[in-house]
Amino acid sequence: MPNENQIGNIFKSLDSAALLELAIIVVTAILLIVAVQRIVPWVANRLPGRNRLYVLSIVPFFRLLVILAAIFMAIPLLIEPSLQNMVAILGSLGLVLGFALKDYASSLIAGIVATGEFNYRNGDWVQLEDVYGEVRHIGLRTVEIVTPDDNRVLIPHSFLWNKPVINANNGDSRLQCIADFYLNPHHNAQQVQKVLENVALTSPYLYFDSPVVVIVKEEPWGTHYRLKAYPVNSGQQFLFITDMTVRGKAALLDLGVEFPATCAIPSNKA
Amino acid sequence: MGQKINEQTYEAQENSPRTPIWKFVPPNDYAVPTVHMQKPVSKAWQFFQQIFRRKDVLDVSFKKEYDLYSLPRVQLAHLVPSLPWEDVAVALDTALRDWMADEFSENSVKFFIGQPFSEHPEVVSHLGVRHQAVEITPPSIEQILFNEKSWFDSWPSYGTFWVLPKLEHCYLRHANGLSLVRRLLRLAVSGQLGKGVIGCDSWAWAYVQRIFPLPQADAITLQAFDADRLQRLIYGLMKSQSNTKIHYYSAKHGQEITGISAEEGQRQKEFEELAAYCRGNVAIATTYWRERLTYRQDGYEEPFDGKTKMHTDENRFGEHLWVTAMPPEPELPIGNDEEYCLLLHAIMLHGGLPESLLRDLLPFSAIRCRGLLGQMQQFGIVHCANGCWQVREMAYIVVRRLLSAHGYLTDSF
Repeated sequence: MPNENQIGNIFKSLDSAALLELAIIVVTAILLIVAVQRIVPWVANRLPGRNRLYVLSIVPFFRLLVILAAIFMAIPLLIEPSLQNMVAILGSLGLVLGFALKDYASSLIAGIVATGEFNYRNGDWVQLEDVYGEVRHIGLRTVEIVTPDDNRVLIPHSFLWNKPVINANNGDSRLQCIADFYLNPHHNAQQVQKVLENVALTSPYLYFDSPVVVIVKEEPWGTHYRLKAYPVNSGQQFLFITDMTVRGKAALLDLGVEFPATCAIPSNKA
Repeated sequence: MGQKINEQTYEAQENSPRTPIWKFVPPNDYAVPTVHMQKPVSKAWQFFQQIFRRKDVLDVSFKKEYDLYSLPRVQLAHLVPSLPWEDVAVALDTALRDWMADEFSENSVKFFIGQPFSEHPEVVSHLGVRHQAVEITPPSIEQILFNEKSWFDSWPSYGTFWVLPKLEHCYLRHANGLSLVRRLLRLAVSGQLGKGVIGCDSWAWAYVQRIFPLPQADAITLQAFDADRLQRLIYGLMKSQSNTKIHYYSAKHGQEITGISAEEGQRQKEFEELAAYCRGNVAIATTYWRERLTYRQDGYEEPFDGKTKMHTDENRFGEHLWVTAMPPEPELPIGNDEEYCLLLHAIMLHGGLPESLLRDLLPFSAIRCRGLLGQMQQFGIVHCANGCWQVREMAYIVVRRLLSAHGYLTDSF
């Protein structure tokens, strides 16, 4: 391992021209990143459906490219880019990151992996542990999620290494919504199934090119109906579920169906 | 006057060895006209305009357009009269002749799908009158919601020809609003109602296909109007209304675009663009044509940039009119895009709706619904006719594009 003097020799002496060049690289990179982070979402929010998500997903890629380009341009200004010097500097850097900034480095690397693997993209609706919301920004270290209650949550990318990522729409502009109905078991299931299907088919939020499905399950306390359908836009999911629930309930009451009197929570989960 | 239009329109048909003006095809064969070569570029440009919502980019017309004056409504109605829907009924009758004559036809019902504003109820009614058919009126709101079988009592006895001009008024996008139309379609398709023709709006048809899939073979629609047929139709209408020769000039470059002296390429381009913009919808195309007609107070004495051919002997006589660029598209009020889409979509799927029903079919309060309708009315997107809210003809293309871009169900035309 090179001693302190050897490491000192690796670095070039910085004159005012080199400093100026370095400053220009850093400032340009920052300006480019800021510009992209403002302009691309602005344009994307004017596009409908899937196009919006495609355009939004450009941001983290572009930022990564700018940072890498800036690093490659700055390195020759700071050190003599020989193999020996590179090994020495990367080795020292690895040591520092390994001990002092282990978690930070892990998140940075996970951020690069997340960008490359498309685990989540801007505009996706994801569930990371207990947090469910829309991905608004993929930073270098963290992913920013805005929950339906309008809370901003920052989660480090290192979450990826050992926790599941549940992505509801996976880059698509639509996601499946489910409205649950719990009914007293004494009813005509076929009739209820048809009514619920009509409820979805008549919702103004429905996306027609995806299927409408009614799943029925008999439980000890009654019958559980799950009405599954897709809204036109993933942002409408809560309004869509509300619409199906409100109109479904009204239609079922018209039908004379009763709702269960007992608690719908299974005893082992109570 | 109606007789004159008929004669002239037929004259236009007879003089042409090409496709007849009123041509009917299955809905899947509807061919939306496109502008050759310019299609990808103009689409990209349109897209760019949509993103940045710049008004000035549309303002590309001839610089002296401010010299032009709108024609009085009466004169416009005289120059470009309403389309002869009775003629369409006659042509439809001809197209259905074999089916009508065949007593053992497998399909006892034919669906006539009309593009928006193409007056399909009128056409089907005319067809009914020609065959002394019983015209079935759509059910009331209560009959739809309570699935009342008594509505079927209005059907004639088996063997009597019937027509139902407005299928779009036989259902509601409501949990209880589909049963009656499903029953109707089941009975009609199975032949239990006898022989009849059902008229249906193209948006309603798209929705009906989702709630009760029907075989396409039983449906026909008016083929999209391409540049050639559109030009012939407009000439026919012009001739039928006036003995005076009318010369149309482009306000953009001053060249004549109709008449013998007009260059074929120029004439073709003008109508090609109009047909493509209106997606072959003849009613909308003629409305745009009407809206674009203007006149100059100083007549035809002054040539335009030396390009105009108005000084030829042939053009010296007759009326001189100027065709301006396409009028700017109406814009939606800022914000609430999603709510506007829901409202417009409900209106389109039902072929127009009264306000009271809109409130019941959409998740809006009465005040919110009124506010949204008022805003869109102010921006020229919708209007209320006989208590029924409808999309304006001049806003239809924008509305269709908006709903399609947001992923809502649209018609295939």
